[in-house]
Amino acid sequence: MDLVEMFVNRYVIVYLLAVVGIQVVYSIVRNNQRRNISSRRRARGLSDDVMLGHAERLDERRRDALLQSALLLGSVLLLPPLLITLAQTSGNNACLAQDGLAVVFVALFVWLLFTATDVAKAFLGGLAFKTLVAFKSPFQVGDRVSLRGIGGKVVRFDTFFVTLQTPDDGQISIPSGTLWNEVLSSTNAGNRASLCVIRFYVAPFATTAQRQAMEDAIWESMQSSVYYDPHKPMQIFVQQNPDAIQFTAKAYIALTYDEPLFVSDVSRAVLDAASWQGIPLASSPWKRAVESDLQAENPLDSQTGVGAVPGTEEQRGLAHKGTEASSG
Amino acid sequence: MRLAAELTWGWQDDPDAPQAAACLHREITHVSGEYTELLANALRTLVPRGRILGLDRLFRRRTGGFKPVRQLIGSLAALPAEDDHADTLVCEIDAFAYGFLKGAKNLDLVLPCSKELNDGFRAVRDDWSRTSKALTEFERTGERLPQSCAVSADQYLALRRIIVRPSARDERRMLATLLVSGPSAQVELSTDLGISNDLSQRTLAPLIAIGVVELRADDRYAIVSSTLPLALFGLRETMGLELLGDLPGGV
Repeated sequence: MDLVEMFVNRYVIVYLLAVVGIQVVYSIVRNNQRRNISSRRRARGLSDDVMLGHAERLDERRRDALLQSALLLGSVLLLPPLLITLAQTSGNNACLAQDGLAVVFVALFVWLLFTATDVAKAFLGGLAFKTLVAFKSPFQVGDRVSLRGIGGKVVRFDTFFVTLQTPDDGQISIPSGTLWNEVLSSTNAGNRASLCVIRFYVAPFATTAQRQAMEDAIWESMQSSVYYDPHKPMQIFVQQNPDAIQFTAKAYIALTYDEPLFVSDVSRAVLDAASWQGIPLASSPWKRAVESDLQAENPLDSQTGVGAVPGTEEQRGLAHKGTEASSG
Repeated sequence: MRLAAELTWGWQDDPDAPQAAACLHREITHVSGEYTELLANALRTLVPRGRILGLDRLFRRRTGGFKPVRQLIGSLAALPAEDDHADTLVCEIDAFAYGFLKGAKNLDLVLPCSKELNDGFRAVRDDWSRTSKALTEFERTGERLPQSCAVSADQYLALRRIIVRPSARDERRMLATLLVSGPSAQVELSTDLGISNDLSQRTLAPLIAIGVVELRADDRYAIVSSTLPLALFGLRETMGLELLGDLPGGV
């Protein structure tokens, strides 16, 4: 009888209801707020998509995650001492209520930590990870990230899953709680801008003037692109490779999602400049192999000049083989 | 010679005025001789002295478009200060071109932006900043724009309907180009953006229709001065461009 009374008393019931109720109420309030904002925006003629950079909404999300975690932990940890104090002041069955709350509190914690269902573990793991991310910001919704070897844009990050949108428009969901031991790589780390690295290859016989012209062309092509962020540093490095002279250009894009457009803009401008100024771009090994095969099949070609003059072929047709881009 | 930048906005200067940088550069490059020497002579005959207008008109954001402005500023900075010259040569330049050239070419090292010369621009910039905050709240929560806001909700919604589309890439690029390079002929816009004249015409048409871009008397397209905060906000949120973000604190 005592055992039943210990667990089935008003303090224990209030405790359990409060822990669950606070989460439910929080969720209802947040949803209600979102619905109000959404209907107000529609009334003003704004479409559902919010035209704000993800950095603008970062603080709001961070506050949200912290509040949700604080409410859960606060209700689990702070309510038992409060209820025990209340039971002691009221005087009736204080000892029983105290024991009951202590047992329920410990049981709840042990259940949460060790024997909870997969759903509860995923929830807690995810919530803890979400809270850590809110403090440390290794990545946020809207970032371009690489998680468990999968690259993409974070489109959703809730307690259970991190959802990525891949460059091929696929949706990948990774359980949030499983990311504790993973290497988290973010291209832009909550910022709008991100670094872009583009490589260009010039033929090894390019003259000093041609190399300088190439460097100038890369420099101006990057700064001329509307996607370039002028407030961040830009650099160009030159390196001698066995088959080509490699130019590695590093510049920041104003909006990280525009990287393919930036690469395309810059590549087109650099290739145009190389074409106008007669800068010989490097040919790839397969191209040289094809050329030598063609010459072996038709030896007359070498006498008519196709590919006979060093650099001529490279200047004409290898535009698309001269560039390579990657995210930094 | 010591130089100082005075920031302007709205591109209201006359590019053919004798003190205009474009006019000065054109006259010097049409005569054979050493650029710096010819510039020194031109400055001696300039009336009134001590001020050059519309430096931004010498610059276009495209490959090869940086050279004239670099040449003029470099030569001005290299000129020795003369007793009969004013202590500092004031160069008027559009704020967006300055913001871009400051980041891309460290222009502020030779052409610093002084606090004293830019009271007017500072007031305008504060106003744009307030408008931007109001637009952010309007976009985020649907809260009404305040009465004091420089732009109307209808104007904003009209521009938003165009630039929010993922496929409106050329419209956004067009606005960004007009903002940095200033008033431009259609052929200049086509060249800068690498698009055909037909496409640039089609891209400009909706922006003109909503009153964000206008065709001026000299056949150049420009962003309407009163809609600059709209263009700034739209480009910041859709392309991440924040050209005035790096100006010195006092300005």
